[in-house]
Amino acid sequence: MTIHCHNKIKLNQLDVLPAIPIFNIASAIGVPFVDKTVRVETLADAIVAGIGDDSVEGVQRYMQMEKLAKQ
Amino acid sequence: MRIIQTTFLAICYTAVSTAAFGNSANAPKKVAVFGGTGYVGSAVCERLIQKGYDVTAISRRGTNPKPNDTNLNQVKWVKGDATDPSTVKKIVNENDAVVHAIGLLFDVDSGLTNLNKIVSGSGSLPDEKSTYDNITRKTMFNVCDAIEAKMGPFSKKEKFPLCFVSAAEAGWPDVAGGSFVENTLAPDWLKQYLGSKRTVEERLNGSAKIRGAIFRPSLIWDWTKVSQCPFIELYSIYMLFICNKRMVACLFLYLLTIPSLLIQSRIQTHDHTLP
Repeated sequence: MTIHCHNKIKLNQLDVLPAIPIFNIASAIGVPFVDKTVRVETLADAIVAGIGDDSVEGVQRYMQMEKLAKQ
Repeated sequence: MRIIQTTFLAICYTAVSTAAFGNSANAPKKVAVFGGTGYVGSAVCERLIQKGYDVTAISRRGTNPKPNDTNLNQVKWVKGDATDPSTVKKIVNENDAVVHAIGLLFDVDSGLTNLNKIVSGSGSLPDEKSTYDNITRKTMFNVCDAIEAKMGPFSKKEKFPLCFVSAAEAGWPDVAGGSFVENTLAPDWLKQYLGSKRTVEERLNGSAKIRGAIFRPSLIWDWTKVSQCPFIELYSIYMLFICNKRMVACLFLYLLTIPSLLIQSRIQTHDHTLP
């Protein structure tokens, strides 16, 4: 059998995956000074949405970023 | 006939413009991204191009970080120093909106500059002038000053859109336990880092001419950013230890399972490579 790229991607994801939930769980269980991690794609999408939307002003935390990124 | 043709074209243009840039008649079309070659900046540039904006990226490097990317090839790459007010003024005067994505986690005074190789998404390293004050405060103040000069004191135009990438921890004074964490447990470099972010946030909030959108992300990552993993884990342990020692015990048990998961995964991968 040949090496499947799909397996390599999964292996890389495993290197990252154990770390991300720890941070996100801390946020989810209500640790007030730990915010959920943000994917660079989400942040970039939120910024682009923020440029075009006149109502976006002031502090945008991860909740607002996730909402904006879906626009 | 010509009048009908012209009217039809005008309607089409308006429809396309509205779809691309929203409903506002004064919606920005030309956007400058300071720090455009960086991890966040380049992702923003890519998406701005996809949305139909005319994008200028300004950075110390001034070159496309991904020459094979069709979106980034449409960006105008400019080499420039954002700590220089005249450079910033020229760029701001040519654009309708600005994104500030310049930043670094460990400045030259932190004693941890080499760690930027691990935590910087773009692998950017600071030079001898790269202090938090220069990189964050001075560059953003230059942008704010340039925007306010462009708008003029008596202008009745809509506020100028400016997006700033801050940090979640800049909001610590607003959340329970945040001030305690910062005052008693945060290292000096982190206090300096957050101090510069907050100074900029205050500057933005106090401007009548700027529509400041302050983005406060926690750790930023993507699936390819494997090297950030150890930093994220250490930071998580640090934060959770402050919160709850019982949680730390659970966390260590969880972390103990990681090597076995990785070994299992590698075994499975090798299995697939066997003839």
